Amino acid sequence: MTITPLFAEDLAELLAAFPSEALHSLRNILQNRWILTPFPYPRAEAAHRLSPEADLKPHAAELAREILWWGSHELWRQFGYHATWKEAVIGVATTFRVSAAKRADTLPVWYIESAILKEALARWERMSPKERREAMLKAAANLNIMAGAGAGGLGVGAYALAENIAGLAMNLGAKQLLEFAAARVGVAALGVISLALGAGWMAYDVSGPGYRVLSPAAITIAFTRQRLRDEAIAAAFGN
Amino acid sequence: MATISATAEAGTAIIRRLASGDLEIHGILLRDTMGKKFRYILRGLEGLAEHSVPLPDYPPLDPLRIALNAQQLANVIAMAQMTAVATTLRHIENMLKEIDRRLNDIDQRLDRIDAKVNLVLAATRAGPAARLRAAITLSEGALRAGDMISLRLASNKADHAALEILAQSQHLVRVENKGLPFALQAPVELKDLIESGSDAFTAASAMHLSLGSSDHAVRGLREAVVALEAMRGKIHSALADPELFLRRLGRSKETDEAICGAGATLTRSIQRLTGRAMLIERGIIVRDRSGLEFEQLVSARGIEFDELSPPPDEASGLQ
Repeated sequence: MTITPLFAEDLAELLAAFPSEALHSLRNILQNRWILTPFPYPRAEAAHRLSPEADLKPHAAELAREILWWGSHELWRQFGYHATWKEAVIGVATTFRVSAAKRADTLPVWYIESAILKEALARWERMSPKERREAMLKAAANLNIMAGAGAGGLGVGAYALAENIAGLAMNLGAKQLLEFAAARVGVAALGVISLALGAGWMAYDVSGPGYRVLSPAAITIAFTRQRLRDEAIAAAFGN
Repeated sequence: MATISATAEAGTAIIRRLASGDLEIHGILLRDTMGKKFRYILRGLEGLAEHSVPLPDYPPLDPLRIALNAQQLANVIAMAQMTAVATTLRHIENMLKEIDRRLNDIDQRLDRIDAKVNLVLAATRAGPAARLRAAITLSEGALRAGDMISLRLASNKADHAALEILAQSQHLVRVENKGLPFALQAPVELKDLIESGSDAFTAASAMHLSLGSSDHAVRGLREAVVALEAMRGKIHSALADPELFLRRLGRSKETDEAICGAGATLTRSIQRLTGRAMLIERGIIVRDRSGLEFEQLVSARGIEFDELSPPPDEASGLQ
């Protein structure tokens, strides 16, 4: 893989370079939220109906559109204005209290995403083991895996996995959590960790419903983008 | 007879142009230096025997004897050999100077990098640079005078320089800064060192080949390949290691591109040195009796003039 698409500012272009497993994580985050609105809602219905094993790559643009919908203001949307991914990410960075210098709109979007991920990890570091466990379990429950998950849900078995992860993750510092996510977990657990890092702590600092989607989505995207960049340059040194 | 006189005329023209300096001989390859319009391949000389042979007894030169008289023939051979000596010398000299330039560039660029590592690198850098300069001086005289003892000395120095440059790039990979190989913080320097090391091994192998020691040339190239492979493996492991994920967060696009560039250079160098070792082993790159290396050409009869790209005025039929 070349590294250029991994620096894309446009979300649809970036998600087109993501593997299906990362798109599943994003879909799980999107399925976690539902909104009642009298206005058109560009939900990625086709992607949501697919099974957990399905290839979501053909639906990357739909998922990007739905994520950006969450980042756009309800009123402005009626006038045809939709937020760009950078605007959405700057909004998330503001709620995470990332310093203004690190979320300036002159910076590339990948840089602001990284700053959010670092800040989320710093906050995780400050949480007590009990708070971490609660955040994990809440995230798991929010991912519609408690009971009778739908087609896109993770199922009861996966919830048991999430419980195990919660038990383990409560004792992990931020760095170890990230290493754990990078090395050993699958789609289900990555979704739980992203949600716990993003939405979990938001329970203590609620800024609006949109950010309950955008925060974990930004963390998942930041994490996946970085992982793919590492893989691409590692490939340059491969056989 | 018309054909013979045309060939003789062309042969004389070559000699005249060689004498005036506007035609160079690269091994057995003749090339027009004025705009690179023509390339002439002088065939029939590549099969010359190691021992001295009277020209009339040398069958591959029969077609030449029809076209050129003995004096002209001797001139062509002598000039080809002399010019080729100078050309090979220039090739090796340019290669060594390029390595020297790259090392100096690294010297200046390393100012921005951690002082401790800079000091360590400076110590190793001084060695190969000095040896390269000595090798350049020695090889200049040795190749011109056909002095094999000096050339052997020069090749030893070039060997040492190549090994030291390689050791320096290995050092850049081995030294770690907070768990990451230092090479990932200085990918441009790594790329330059790998290129320089690869060029130095190529130059050293050319000298060994000129000395008739193809085994030595191949051994050096193979050792370099093994070392480069080990470097590649170490960097690959570091990049794939999730433990270092957090450390790499926030790295710029330019750094990523430079690291990819260093990776591509490393892979290319491994392929180049492996290929060169194989070509020497299989006798594709061989030693000429004049002590030069050249890529072996298929034997042909006499002088052939291969016009590869005609000048624009001739191609269009304009005067």
